[in-house]
Amino acid sequence: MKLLPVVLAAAVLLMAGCSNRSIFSLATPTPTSTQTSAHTPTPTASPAGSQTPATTPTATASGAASPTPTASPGSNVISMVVNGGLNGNVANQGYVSLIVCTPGSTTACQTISNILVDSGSVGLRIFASVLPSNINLQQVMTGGQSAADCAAFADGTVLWGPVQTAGVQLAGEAQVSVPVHVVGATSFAGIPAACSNQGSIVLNSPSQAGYNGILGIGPFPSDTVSTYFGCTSTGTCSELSSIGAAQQVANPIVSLPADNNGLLVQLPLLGGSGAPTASGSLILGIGTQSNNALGSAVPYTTDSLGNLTAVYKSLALTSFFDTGSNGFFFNDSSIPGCTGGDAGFYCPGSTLSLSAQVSGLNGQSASVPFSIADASALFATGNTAFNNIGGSFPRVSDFDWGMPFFFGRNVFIAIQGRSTPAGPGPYFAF
Amino acid sequence: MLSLSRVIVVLNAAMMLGISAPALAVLGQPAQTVGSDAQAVGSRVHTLAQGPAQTPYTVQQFTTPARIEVREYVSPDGTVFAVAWNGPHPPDLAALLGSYFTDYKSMAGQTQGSYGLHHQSLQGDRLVIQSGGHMGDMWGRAWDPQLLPSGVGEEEIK
Repeated sequence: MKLLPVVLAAAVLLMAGCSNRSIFSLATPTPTSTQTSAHTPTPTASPAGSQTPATTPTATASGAASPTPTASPGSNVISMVVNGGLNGNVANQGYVSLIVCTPGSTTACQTISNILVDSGSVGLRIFASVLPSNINLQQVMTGGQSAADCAAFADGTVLWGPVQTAGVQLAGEAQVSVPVHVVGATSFAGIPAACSNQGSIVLNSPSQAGYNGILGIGPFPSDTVSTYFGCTSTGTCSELSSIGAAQQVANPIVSLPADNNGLLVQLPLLGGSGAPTASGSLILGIGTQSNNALGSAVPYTTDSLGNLTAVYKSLALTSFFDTGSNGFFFNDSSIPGCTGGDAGFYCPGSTLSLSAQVSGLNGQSASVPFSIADASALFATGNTAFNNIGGSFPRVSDFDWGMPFFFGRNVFIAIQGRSTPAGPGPYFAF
Repeated sequence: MLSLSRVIVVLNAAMMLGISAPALAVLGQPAQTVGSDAQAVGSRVHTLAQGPAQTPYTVQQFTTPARIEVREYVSPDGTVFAVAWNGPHPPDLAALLGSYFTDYKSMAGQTQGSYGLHHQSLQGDRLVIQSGGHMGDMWGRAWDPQLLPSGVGEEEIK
């Protein structure tokens, strides 16, 4: 075999006297209410969902013409709340509760709250420390080895741990057995360098993360893009070049007996100064119940990565809809940036009414209006839910429709290959 | 508008297969000349743009076995002053950033989650590092502001 050239000479340029580091970006909106316990232990198998969220629409400052979302009660409704997270310091992140059980058990179960809802990833990830010892998950095997997953997010956080089959109950739906990513498991092989080197910080606990887990609701059946490993019984883990679909961390929705083709994200309309918190719903299924009909929503099909196109000020950009991003992130040098701890967000002198043209691969296209207000002034209110914060995005060719996009409209996320009344996923419809 | 002379070296991805730890030119360290790199691996050399060579630099591009595209920006004196990458997940940043990886980790400590899960932007005296995107389509870049050749703008690192 021909070896690669050694590109580096042995000499290293020593960077002397460069120890000063300034932190560039830190947005820490302070919520008015204090976040307390990590989760409420409720070791029963009773449905977690079915509540009617208090959606109190208010006048909006943006020009978005939107329906007034109101979730109907039903076994397919998961309550979702936008607040500051476990540590009370992150704006515009949404959380749900779900029940995790020993697969097939109706008694060895635990309600896990503060599960971060992320349409920019796929699959359920839960910190091991929130699972009580009476819940026994089944290790997923691959090629005679224990399967493990390394999920690196673009904020520099890295999640490591085994892939194990869990019984998962969403709202009042039937329990499904699906591979989940168990994060920070102390009884499993330690994190290999090939995983920890993918980011700046490895998260091992909810207090570090600000959430107890992540529910990835991106429009795909399973996570095919993170780094999977096979681990021996002695704890040696090797990166796998591929892993079977049945061993991948799964989107639990696809295993539901019905309501398994996608879901509807429904969050209330907000006023221009935001709200202390916002309550809405994840409604399972698309066109499967009276509460998840598409109505007038138009589907915008994505590519195999979950991307579509947005044209902003005549520039065609790679675009995605992401509840896991807390603002509209796009580049516009004409908008003043915030300073100090809010650097990276936009702080225009007055609220800007903007729009971008979204186009799906299916040829559907729509102009989407949105507003950008002074993020520093909004964070100073102590509110945690905003429909009008944004900032620059490192990659100038991207347009990230973060959580602000989702307020005040019904957004359907259809899973790849699953049929819906508007055709198969992957698509976002609104 | 800067008009710079650039040479893109595309290392053959096939050459990387089966090699568990691809040789990366580390940020801040010297790289071999483009010519000898190209000769050693038999790779193609593309000249993307030519102009008044005020500040010529080269971009070496290759793909890792995990399908991550890596680009190294090499200054006229042969030093890697910037790196950029894109792919389904981040590359081995310890290998790519070298001694700067420690800086990265300490700079990031207090900012996790500022913009949610899909975006990071850190700026220090000797390291600027940014990443963004969602799982499956992630992107990042890093540079040492003290090594950035005169006349080269950060927007050229992509």
